[in-house]
Amino acid sequence: MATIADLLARLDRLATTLGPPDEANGLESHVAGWMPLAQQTLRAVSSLQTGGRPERVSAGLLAILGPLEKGPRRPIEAFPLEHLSDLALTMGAISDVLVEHLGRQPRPEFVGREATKLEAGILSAVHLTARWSLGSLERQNPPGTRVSTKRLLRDLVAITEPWALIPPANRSSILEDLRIRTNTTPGLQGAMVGWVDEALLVLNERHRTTSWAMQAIAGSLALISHTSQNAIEQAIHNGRLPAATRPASEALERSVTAWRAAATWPPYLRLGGETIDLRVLTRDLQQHLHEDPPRTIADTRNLLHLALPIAKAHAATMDRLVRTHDLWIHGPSLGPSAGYIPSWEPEPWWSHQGLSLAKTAQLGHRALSKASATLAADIERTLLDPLPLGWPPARSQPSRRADEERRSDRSRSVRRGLTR
Amino acid sequence: MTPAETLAVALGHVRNATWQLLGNNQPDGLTLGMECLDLEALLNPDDLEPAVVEAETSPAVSLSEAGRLLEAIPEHVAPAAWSVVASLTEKLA
Repeated sequence: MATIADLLARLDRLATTLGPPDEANGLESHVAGWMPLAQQTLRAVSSLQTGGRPERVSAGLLAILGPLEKGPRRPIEAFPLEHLSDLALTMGAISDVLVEHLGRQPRPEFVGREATKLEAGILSAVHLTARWSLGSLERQNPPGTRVSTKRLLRDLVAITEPWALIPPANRSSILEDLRIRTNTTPGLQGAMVGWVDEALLVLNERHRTTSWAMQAIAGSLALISHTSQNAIEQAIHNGRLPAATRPASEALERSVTAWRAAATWPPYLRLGGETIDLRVLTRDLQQHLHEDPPRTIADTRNLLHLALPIAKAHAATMDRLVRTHDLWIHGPSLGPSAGYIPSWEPEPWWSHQGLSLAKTAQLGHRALSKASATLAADIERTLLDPLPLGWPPARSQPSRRADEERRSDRSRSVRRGLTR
Repeated sequence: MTPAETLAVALGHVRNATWQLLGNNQPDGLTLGMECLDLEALLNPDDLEPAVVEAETSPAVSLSEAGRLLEAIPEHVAPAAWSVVASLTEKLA
């Protein structure tokens, strides 16, 4: 299934192949095309948390994209330009993925720099498109209200230029791993999404929670951690990841131990109920983890990203079950001091048999969260050295000779200063 | 014992085997324990209260005890469970 990286590559391709300024289509086609493109750009940029107050940080961008999104007061009769519609469609897919993954409470590693890098990727494509539209309109020299559109496009070109100046190699973000989330995707991704949706339903609805579900979810989280750890170790072994990424692997090892312990319910403790759908999805997930493990670090990171909300919900549900004494215990296991209890009874207030299970689930959640954050940080460290700034970044770097001349001029001026 | 009581005791043995496998710190204990957990769900679609029985010396013995009891009540056992019992018995042996 398409990742943000795939969609961004498509956006880039569309923006760089717009061709010469378009004189054939009138202003209205440009305006009609910019309305959805501006709307989806705003949606994508607003879902990124770059730090600070969004209304202040992105004030300039909002002030330009807002009017472009609204369009003119009078109705437009022309069809939007095809190029702009394609760009709006791709931008819409990017914003859909971002809203779904970052909408509620984004992971700490997705806030700040990584969001800024993705914003740069998005806005550099917008910059190229705005330049193209502006060039086309300037050749036509349209009168009247058209001036305001040209003005807005000129502002957009100016405000997005700093983003376009960032070389593509410096814009690579871990947010590009995020992908459209659907259980119809073949392979592990689809199985994982189906399992996650059902597990969240079971954990968040009091009457669906059973001891079997709690065991199966904890055991599956242990298997997910184990598979991810294997993938990381394999990547270190093959040289795709440096040995410095070992802490992520170690955190996953702790996660396996903790979640396995959380799945080990003693036979005298239970919580009844039926969990038919989860059983089928759990088997499906286990089969895919075994036969189709993640092949890339991006896939591994995505697997952990999907598993984290389940780990959090499991730890919270287990804590609730123990605190509210919702678990059932087999009477004789309480010992003779409890009196004569021949069969299953709700756990008495003075007994805390499930406490160790709740504690290990919390440890498991912490370890999994740590592994995910460490893996993101390690990837950032292992990226290639940042490229120097320059425009255009990829095609014509300043020549070495020019660099040397500039350096020697500077050193001469420093010498002059010291002599004086 | 009624068939329901027999099934409850068999479930008790399967639960013991799951507990022993998940808690034994062996590398394959996790996957085998999850298979055993799946067997428990297959055997207990109606949410019958399982019996709590004394743990056997090993998960293999617990499972073989469960298998022996299930053979006495085949009409109460889901057909899919037989292949899981056979596969687990073979792996644990």
